[in-house]
Amino acid sequence: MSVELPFPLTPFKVILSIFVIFTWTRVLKRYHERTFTIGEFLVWTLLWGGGVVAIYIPGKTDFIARLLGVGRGADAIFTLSILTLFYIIYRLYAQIYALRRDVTKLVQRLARERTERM
Amino acid sequence: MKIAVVIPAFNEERVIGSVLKQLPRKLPGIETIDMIVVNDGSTDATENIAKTFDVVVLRHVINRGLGATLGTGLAYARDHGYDLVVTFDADGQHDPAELKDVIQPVLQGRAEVVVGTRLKKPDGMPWHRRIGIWAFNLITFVLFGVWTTDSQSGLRVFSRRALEQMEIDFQGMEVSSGLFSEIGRLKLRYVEVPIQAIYTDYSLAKGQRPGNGFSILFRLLWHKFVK
Repeated sequence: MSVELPFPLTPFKVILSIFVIFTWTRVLKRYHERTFTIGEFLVWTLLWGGGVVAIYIPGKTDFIARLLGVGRGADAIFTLSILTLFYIIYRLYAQIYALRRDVTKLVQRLARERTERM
Repeated sequence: MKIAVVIPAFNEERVIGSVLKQLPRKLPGIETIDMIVVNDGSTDATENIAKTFDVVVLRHVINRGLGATLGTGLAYARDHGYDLVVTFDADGQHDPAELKDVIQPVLQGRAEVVVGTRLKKPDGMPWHRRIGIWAFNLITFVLFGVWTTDSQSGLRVFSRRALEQMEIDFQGMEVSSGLFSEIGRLKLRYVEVPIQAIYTDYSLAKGQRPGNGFSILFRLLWHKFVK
């Protein structure tokens, strides 16, 4: 007797599912470690949950496409993904910029405290 | 009148000794001229060579870039009550004899900031460098509203008033154009003095590389619009 799934399971979907589950466990871990707030945890959970919907029920994303005025659900997902990636890169750069400034302030302070007059 | 000459240095063991030897220790009407060498995490003998001279040595424990190095030197000068501060490259491209000329506009009360411009005597400067400097002059003008003929010059003079008001918040090479944001913001009186740069294979190799231009531009845009 074979069990019929409500959606066809392809190798591509299996790989994506493993990736999404793995990434979500990282989000959960960060929440438990208190490096993520409840808000950040929920945002990432919704994002990856949306990813699962897009993988298994592609038609369900069409309403986002209609909302954004693009052709298909897949296009909407790609557009939103690219925008999200841009935002993440911006945030990363901003954090690196702030870190570099902090390191510089520390180095400058050390330099001024250990001045040597020949 | 006390003058500080801030010399940012990163791996300059081949020339720093000669630069420190040639810089004047006495000028008419100047009581004290102190050399402030800021070693930006050099991995060679730059610091040991500098220490053989009568200078103040400030050491960055790790390399932080030109902007951070100038920031350290200028902050030291501000905290130690210098009346006038000169920034002077350690790579030997500036003629120490021109120090007396570039400080004149500040001494005479005509300026609060002076830049020694190489573009009015560009003999020996490679054409691609001239184009690069003009491009950055234009970018500096568009972003910060101050016109200069040499936004990338390392020979600069700041009055006490300028020193007290300026906020130097730059890390790398973008500081050269970035300083003009402070000149514009604070409406400091700005004057240029023509200088003759000394181009050697060493000083040319030490200068900015064309690839750095995009990184500098990006950082200037970030400083202007995001920071």
